[in-house]
Amino acid sequence: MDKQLLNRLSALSQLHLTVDEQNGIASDLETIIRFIDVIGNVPTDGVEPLSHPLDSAQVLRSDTPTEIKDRDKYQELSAVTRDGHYLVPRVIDP
Amino acid sequence: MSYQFHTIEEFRDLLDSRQASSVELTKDCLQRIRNTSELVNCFVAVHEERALAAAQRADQDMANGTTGPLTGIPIAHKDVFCVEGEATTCCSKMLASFVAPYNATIVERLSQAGAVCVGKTNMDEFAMGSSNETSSFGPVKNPWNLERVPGGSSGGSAAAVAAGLVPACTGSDTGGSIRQPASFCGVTGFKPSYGLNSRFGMVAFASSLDHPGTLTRTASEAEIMLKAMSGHDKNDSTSVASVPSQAEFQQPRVLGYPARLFSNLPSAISSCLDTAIRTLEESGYRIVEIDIPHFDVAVATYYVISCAEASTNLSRYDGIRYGHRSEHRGGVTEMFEHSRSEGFGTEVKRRILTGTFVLSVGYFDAYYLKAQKIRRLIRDDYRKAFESVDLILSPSTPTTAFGLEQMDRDPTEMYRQDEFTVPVSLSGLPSMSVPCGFAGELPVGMQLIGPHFGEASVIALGKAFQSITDWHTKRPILPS
Amino acid sequence: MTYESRWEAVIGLELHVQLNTAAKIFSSAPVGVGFAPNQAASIVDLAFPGTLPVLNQEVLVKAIRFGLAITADIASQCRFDRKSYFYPDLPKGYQITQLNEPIVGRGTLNVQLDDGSIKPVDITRAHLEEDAGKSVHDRYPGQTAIDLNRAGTPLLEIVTEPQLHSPEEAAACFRQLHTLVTWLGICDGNLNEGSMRCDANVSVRLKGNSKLGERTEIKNINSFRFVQKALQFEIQRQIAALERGDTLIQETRLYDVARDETRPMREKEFSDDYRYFPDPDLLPVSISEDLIHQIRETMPELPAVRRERYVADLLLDDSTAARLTRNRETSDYFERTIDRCPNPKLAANWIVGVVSAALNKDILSIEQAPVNPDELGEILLQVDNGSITQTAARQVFQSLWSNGGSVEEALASQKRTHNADDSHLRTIVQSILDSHPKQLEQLKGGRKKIAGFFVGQIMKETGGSADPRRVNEILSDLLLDEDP
Repeated sequence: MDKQLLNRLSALSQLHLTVDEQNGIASDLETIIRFIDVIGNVPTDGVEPLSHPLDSAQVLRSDTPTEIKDRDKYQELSAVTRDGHYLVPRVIDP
Repeated sequence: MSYQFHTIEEFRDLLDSRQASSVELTKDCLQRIRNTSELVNCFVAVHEERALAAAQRADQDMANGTTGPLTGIPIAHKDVFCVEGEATTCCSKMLASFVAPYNATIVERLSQAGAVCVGKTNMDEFAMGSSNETSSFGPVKNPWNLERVPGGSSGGSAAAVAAGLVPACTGSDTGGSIRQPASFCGVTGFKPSYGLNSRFGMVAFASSLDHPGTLTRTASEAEIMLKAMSGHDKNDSTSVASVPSQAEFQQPRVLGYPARLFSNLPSAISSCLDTAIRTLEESGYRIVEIDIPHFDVAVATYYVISCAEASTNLSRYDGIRYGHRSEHRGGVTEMFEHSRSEGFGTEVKRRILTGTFVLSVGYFDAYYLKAQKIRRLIRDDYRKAFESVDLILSPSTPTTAFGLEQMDRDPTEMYRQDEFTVPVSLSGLPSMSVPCGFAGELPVGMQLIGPHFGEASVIALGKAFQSITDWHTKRPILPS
Repeated sequence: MTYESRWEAVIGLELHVQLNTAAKIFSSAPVGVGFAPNQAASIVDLAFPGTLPVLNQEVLVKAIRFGLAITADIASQCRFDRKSYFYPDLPKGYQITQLNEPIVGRGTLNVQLDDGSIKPVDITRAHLEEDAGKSVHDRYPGQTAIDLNRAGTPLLEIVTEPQLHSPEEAAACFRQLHTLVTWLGICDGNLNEGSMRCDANVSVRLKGNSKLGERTEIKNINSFRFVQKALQFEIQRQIAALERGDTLIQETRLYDVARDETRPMREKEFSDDYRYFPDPDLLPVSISEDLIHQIRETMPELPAVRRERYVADLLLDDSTAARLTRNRETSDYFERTIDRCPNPKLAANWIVGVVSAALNKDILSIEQAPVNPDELGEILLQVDNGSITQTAARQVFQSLWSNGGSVEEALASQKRTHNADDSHLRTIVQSILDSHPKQLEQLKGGRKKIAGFFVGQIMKETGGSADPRRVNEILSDLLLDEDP
């Protein structure tokens, strides 16, 4: 787990790791990756990936809209809102 | 009078015979929770007013003659389930101030069934852990030995039932999070088939593995809870529309035991298992040796898949609409990064980073895709096994409850706690951990595993086993 | 520029088409504009903890309609994937989309070019995904405001093969897809509201070279004209760079409408690693033959088919047929008109001429036309059977358009005016006959050719407004009167 890979993973995960954390987590990740590496030894030629334990087809929803009544209640959960908008620091280049 | 350690059925008798009202039972229950809260730390929130109001309604319903099996019975929900108007924190700093604006389907259904929710139970942060030590509310203590962990992630629920505070709690099981703490705490933990219980309103960890379930003292209580909870939910497209008819249900007779897999088990545990198996054999069950060839790689496979799913399920915590928002100044990226870094604990961060790793360019095929292929092999192993047996037996955990802070050095050591439970989770099968003995003062659990949607068989064997053994009736003695 | 002819542009389009369902793709929140901020965002759209997506079945129907229209393969099973990236208006931190198993496979779109010719363009695929919310950057100082009403609006992303070779072809392809999706009733086609957004991939190569050059992607263009202009600029820029000997880099660019130029988008490091994987909240979706069959039964006659039929069966010329089939409303207007008046040429000429001029003048769309196709058909029927002249028909049409009322009344009133006009005309004819006694004698004497002289004089007198046929009729009437 070199610094470059850890930087990439933390950037993709949007996690800011302190220098202390970086060292600890880098070695943890190395341990974890060693741990999961055993799957490389299993022969899987011709095996279809399985992404879900269920075989059944899903039930769909009908195209019926429902009015949203609780916006203000939802927005009470947010740190910063204004006139019904959620606010974030200015995104410079959209 | 105290109603500690009463089962749902015992409560039912008291209520139906008018020996006690739901309000009385609930008050008594709230009192027990207060008395033990510092000792065990299994509750993170107590909904006193709300519970008493629900109890009053239940009493009213009973007076009107409209009662179900759960009317007026106190229960508690793991803090992973949304309860409208109450804090739902997943025991994470990230959601410390999150008050759910809606009810989880499971919560709604149990409430409709008349159950009285007395509060929320402690858990590992975002259900990631096997010791309940990653909770932002501090660790839960095992009622059998307060120096030891209750297991996790549903540690609070398991400890609350073990301590006799409530007869039943909800839990969630992704890799073993119901069965492992049930085993550590000497209670019955039941994880039904994937797709039977709705996940709507249960905060997601790994979507294809997350199973809502229960912790109770007995298998028959698990059955009562399941009946109230299960069934199709239009808000969860992975909840199945219909389940194969239970009419075809036959009492299980042939039980498979993959002995090869448990050759390294500590003797204190294996002797409990051996005795349990012998007891079943003596009662007329046929025990057949089977094998699950890909069992050994299941934990690694599980960690690849669960971390991959978790890394994206936890991307929604960005500090904008709810959840922790950092005070750190800067642009939107800094806001994201600092909010997430401050809000998540170390284990959660490790799993997010691991998940990002296995999904990212250059590693996807070797890890994520490979794990999905092995997942199929494991599921097929079970399918093949169920061609010749009705149910499969297994120890629930490789150890008994370990000491607090004993496992904080190597994260993968903790991951191995799940080695007997994750293959079942990867396959989405119903599985119950029942108490099957003691290693010294600590409980040992046995897993009963059924084919997909074979919950009736699993429950039947659980009830049968509990009718010929009394391990589930043992009670820890808490210092007062 | 003189070197341009050595180069060839290679263009492929990706169109994001908002499907006009009532509810969102994975939640029951309403789709549409005009809501207060976040007033159309449900707990699912807001990605509240514990919420789950459930697919709206109508989006499947609409996607399959598109697939059938381009004679594409419809997948018997399709699947949804997560595409991960962080952005304030993407609430889950991932977008649900379809990577490897899209609902619509390969098909063909027949694009009508400006010169009327047809260019078949292969459609690589079309897949379903959810739209993101909107970020408003200029409303509050130092802050970006997030409105998640659009989040979860169903999108059909249509991807073409890189088979377009000029900005004009690209614009025509965009326009053709616009015609098609609105024709099928799966999108409202409102470009100003962002109902269709286009990304264009473009590279240039020396003619005869089979290898593709380094391409750039121009994001988020929402009009036919801007696609054309953005591509014109970008192709020039690429050619100029290569002529200078520069190397191009693969990058994403934005088209700046005000400056009429493209410029690179700033991108975050690693942001191209989207970590796609199957969404575990959604099982694969099976699409039955039955469903496809049902949808096939309700497919409208498609624009290309109609265009061909208009030329082959109704004997319209290519350009009129093309104009009539540019949108479903115009074409349906035409169809209803000829239900009433079985003279397609007459109806077609009227619709592309008189009707369309009147619409332009009043800035109306054809659905808003004050004269409906039944009424137009009735008027034209009168022309077709010779009851009224074209000129009279125009007057009837204009009166109906401006004043309303029924066709019968308008026709009757036209007849009254016509009769009034008739007596006025008689007076003129009489006075001209009276003032040219010599020529009148010649005419009476059997010199039929002299009639032309009178007609000419009458036309001159009336400023050309008189119907010559009617003039002749009156002329012979009056001659009979004078010669008992």
